[in-house]
Amino acid sequence: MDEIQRRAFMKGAAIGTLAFTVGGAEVMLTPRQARAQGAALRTLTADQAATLDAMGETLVPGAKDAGITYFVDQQISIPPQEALLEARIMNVKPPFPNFYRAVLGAIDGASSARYGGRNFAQLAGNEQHEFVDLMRQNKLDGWKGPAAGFVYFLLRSDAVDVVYGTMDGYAHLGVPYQPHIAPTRSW
Amino acid sequence: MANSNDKVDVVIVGAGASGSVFAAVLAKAGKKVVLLEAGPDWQLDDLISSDIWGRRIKPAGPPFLFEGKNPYGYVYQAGWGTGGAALHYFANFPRLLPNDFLVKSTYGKGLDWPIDYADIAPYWDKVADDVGVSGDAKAEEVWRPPEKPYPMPPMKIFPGGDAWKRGFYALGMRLIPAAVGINSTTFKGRPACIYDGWCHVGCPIGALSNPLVTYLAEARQAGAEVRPYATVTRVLTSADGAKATAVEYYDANNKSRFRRQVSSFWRHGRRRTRDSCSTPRPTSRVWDVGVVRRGLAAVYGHHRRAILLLRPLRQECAQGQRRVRLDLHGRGDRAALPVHSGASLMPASICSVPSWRRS
Repeated sequence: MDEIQRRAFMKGAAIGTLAFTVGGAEVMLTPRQARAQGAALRTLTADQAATLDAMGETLVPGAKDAGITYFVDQQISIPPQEALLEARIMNVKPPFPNFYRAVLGAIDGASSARYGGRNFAQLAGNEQHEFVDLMRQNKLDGWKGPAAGFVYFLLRSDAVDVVYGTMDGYAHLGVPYQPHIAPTRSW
Repeated sequence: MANSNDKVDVVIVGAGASGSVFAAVLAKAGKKVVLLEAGPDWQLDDLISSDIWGRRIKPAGPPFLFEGKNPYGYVYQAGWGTGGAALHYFANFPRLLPNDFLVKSTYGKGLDWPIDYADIAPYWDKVADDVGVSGDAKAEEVWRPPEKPYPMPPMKIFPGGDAWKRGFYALGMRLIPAAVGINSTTFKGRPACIYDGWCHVGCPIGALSNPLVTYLAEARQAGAEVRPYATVTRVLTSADGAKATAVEYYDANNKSRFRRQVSSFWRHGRRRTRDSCSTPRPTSRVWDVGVVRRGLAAVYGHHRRAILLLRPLRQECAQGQRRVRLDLHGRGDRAALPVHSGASLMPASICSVPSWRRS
């Protein structure tokens, strides 16, 4: 990416949206809008998306509809130096798609081992909460991937980002946003 | 802009907190200064008030390499681009205490510094006057010798800070307003803080003393050139290592390599830059003296957090909500112990509390 393009991207933050593909055309949407409009996933498979949706919703209710999967999928598809993910600032070594694939594989692998071949998205609510509580404490047998506690921390961050990290999220909490320079479209 | 092969007086690698100071001092002294910065050249209007978008000013590009048995995560606290980490720092300006410099001779542990409190105190005052520091110097005299007053009065204290203050006072402990590089009043044409709490993603009004509005601005005004997306790969030296002769770096397109002839080179900061130097290394630099390497001391952090049900619910704080407590000194502690209290968390920042659980 040359400097002029990079600068344009950086300034793109002012519109506060991300690039998604809907109906073959690239449009600027929030992750919630991308989900509602059925934007195409760029990197994650349908199974991986289902796992991330379920995990996000378990960690922070509302994360699925807020578009956690679309947020992560879009963010891992762009150059790592442009990513806004918590992973970027927690020393996760790019490329980020590899990390998230490993994470989602570890979740479903451990879920399958513990719950009779069922992936995380197929678990009942109480089972999902039990799984997350063990994951948080690095106590899941059969876990193969990045440290489970770290995964818990990062995915929770992603979920909080889409639910509470936005202007809409602040409004939902009743916390005045008080921006100097506001991201438009509330994201 | 000078051509890449033009000879300059000084090349500074990194346009962050320290590089900006060197650049300002040298440029104002008439030197031809170039700063090679690996990241973007941020402007104040890039500093969007958003936890998510604020991550743009955290490190990117070549990953940091960590070594040792307990490698320490560095990225969260670091920066990328002009201003460096000081573009999103909390602007805390605590001063060490006199016995911090004499830990070995006083307590038989650690190391004594090669300089003492009196050596460095005038520079704290100078920096405070340069960048603007708000605080209560008189209150700090409980622990340290009298020095100049801070150029601005302390920041406002909000209900969260007062709640902590009441708790500490109930235990017989003293809290005083923290010295911060944030404007409590207008300072050198920069506005006073409006306490919106977005210090951690960059202050676009310049109330917080980030390098874009302090030393880097002064350096640019004095003619220093900032070259963004310039990642240094090597420092070339004379055969005997006595002098840096050129700096090699690649540019924004990751294609070309340039050599900029230098008559002087100032390196600082990150280890990857230090270790990128060709062999033999230029002499008479700080780490070659050995002082920094031998005397490097860790600063530990210990966090206690509480959720205070205060109304009206506001994130309002800046860092002015913090108070600093230093009165454990003299009770057997071996170093200054600043305690920051009363800072509030943004909703997304709750995630930075790994032990936090809903119950």
